[in-house]
Amino acid sequence: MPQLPKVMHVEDDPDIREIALIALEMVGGLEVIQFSSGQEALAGAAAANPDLFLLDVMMPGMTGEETLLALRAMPQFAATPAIFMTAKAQHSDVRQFIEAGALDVIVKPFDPMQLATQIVALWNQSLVS
Amino acid sequence: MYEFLQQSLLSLRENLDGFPLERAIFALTVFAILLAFALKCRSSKAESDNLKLRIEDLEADLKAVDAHVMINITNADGGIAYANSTLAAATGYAPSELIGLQFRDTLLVSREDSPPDLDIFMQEGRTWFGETRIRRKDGSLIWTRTTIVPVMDRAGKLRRSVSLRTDITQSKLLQAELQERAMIDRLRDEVYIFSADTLELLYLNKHSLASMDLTPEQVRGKRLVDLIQPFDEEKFRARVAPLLSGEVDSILHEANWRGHPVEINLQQERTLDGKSRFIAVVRDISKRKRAERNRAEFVATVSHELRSPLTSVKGSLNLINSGVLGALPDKAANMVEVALRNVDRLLRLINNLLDLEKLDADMMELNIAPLDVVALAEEAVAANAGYGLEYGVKLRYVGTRAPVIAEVSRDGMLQVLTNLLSNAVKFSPRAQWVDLAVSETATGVRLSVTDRGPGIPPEAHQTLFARFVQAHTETDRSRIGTGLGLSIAKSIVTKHGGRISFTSEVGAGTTFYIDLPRSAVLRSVA
Repeated sequence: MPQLPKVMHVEDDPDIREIALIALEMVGGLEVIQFSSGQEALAGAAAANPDLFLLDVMMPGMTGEETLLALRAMPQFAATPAIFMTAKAQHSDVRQFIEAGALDVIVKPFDPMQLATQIVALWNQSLVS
Repeated sequence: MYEFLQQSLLSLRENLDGFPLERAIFALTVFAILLAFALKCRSSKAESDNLKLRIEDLEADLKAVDAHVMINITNADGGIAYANSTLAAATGYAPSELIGLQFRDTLLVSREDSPPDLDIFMQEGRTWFGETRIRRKDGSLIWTRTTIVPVMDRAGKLRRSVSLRTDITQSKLLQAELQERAMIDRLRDEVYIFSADTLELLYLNKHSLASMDLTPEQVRGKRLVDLIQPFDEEKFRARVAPLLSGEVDSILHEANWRGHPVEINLQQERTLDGKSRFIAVVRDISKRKRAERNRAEFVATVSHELRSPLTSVKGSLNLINSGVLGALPDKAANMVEVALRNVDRLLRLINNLLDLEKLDADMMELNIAPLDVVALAEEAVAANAGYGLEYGVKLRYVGTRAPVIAEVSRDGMLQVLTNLLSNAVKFSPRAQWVDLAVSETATGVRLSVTDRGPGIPPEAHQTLFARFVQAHTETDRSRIGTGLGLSIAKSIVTKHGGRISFTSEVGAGTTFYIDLPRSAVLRSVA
């Protein structure tokens, strides 16, 4: 049985955090650590030691891209796969997120019944490549 | 008689400066004839000597005039019988080259350029004065002030005409230049006029000089490269080549100019003397760019602010509906389904409104590229088959199977086809087919979506593509759309340079057509 990733989810909206938690843990059986801001994530990332980042893009304080940049500066997370979640889904946005180092972009509103499957598929893909 | 002639000559000389030159020459010519006549009639030696002297003076005067004025004599049929060396030199011909040629065909810009009243003046024996343009051998133009004197035969018919011209090109140019400069100085845009050959700056309007804190003296003799640094002349010349060849009328370019965004409209103009020059109108578009940014931010914010709560609502409902949080009583489960359906509808509406906003603001990224339209149509059928099943309607592709490669936006055209197919499904009776086809036409490629629904009532035809318009007042709410789908489809098709239309018969069905122009079709593989 393939190993499932430990996901670090950063999202400022508490309702979306709760739904994602159910979707990833209950539906998908993944281990999840959640933070409500980029700053919190940076402070807790080392202790959490995740395999994959799931980052909201538009957050107050630090955006998802800024958070990823700061995480990448930490040697242990220099190559950790990251996925963005966003309501902005223009081609240029997606291209920009991929260029910023994301594996892919999950568009909101996401389907909570499919979220874990999507993430695991992208995680496996990243392992292969 | 002699005194009179002498007086006339003196008077003529005195007035030569203030007199129109061509009239003076005409008068001189008449005077020469009279003088010759007088010489014949007088026999006294003293008088004869005096007259000879006068003739010598007159010849010198005529020589001076001949050197200054372009003269030609034209036969009644328009053929050139004589051309002086000044005319020949000014036009680039040898005098002998001009003899026998039709004046209008050789030296006028076109036959239409001949003064419209000239023939009437000539037929009536009246002298014509005016301004005319003549064409040099190299194609460039000279503006002339012209006097044309008809010479009639005894029967009063035109025998020939004598034309005298002075070159006024420089004063014309100056006059036109001054008028143009006065006009462009009033513009709030920056205007740069420079030679198309040498790129030498010919004129900068007040606004452009002020913006660079320069005086006209400081830019005199400078080239474009002295003003713009770094300046890649080779790249610039390649860029303006279509303008010089006449392939395009103007080139519009956005750039950053001294720290602010500008739009440069470059046009080519030919001056009165036929020289080519560029006029660059540079408009500050900071305000427009700011407005575009604000609009883009608005779209991004609305996307985020509306979609985030919907993510929570839809996510929660999906989780409840899936049963992972526990089983629901039947009535509650029904209510959750109603809520989910309406969340989906709200989401569609928001997405459609945002799409329209992006299309209106030209922010929709269509990414137009060559692809097989037939494969795209088949993909659209497959993607919407599930939606058809919800209504018990079957979708199929019935068009040509040979690939048709055209320049289209994959996402854009899929959205158009999805909008048309979902409309067709919603209004089709159960167990009926909805057909999608691709065919090549004389003007390009046509995609069509056909349903066998109730048809569109004639009174709805006019407003069908307007926003928030529904052709049917449905009692079945599941069939109500956002009223924006066709408007979006039309915008996207229009951005492809195409056209969307429909035919409909009440009680029989409707077909929507997307016609893409031939230029979009790259090739067909039969």
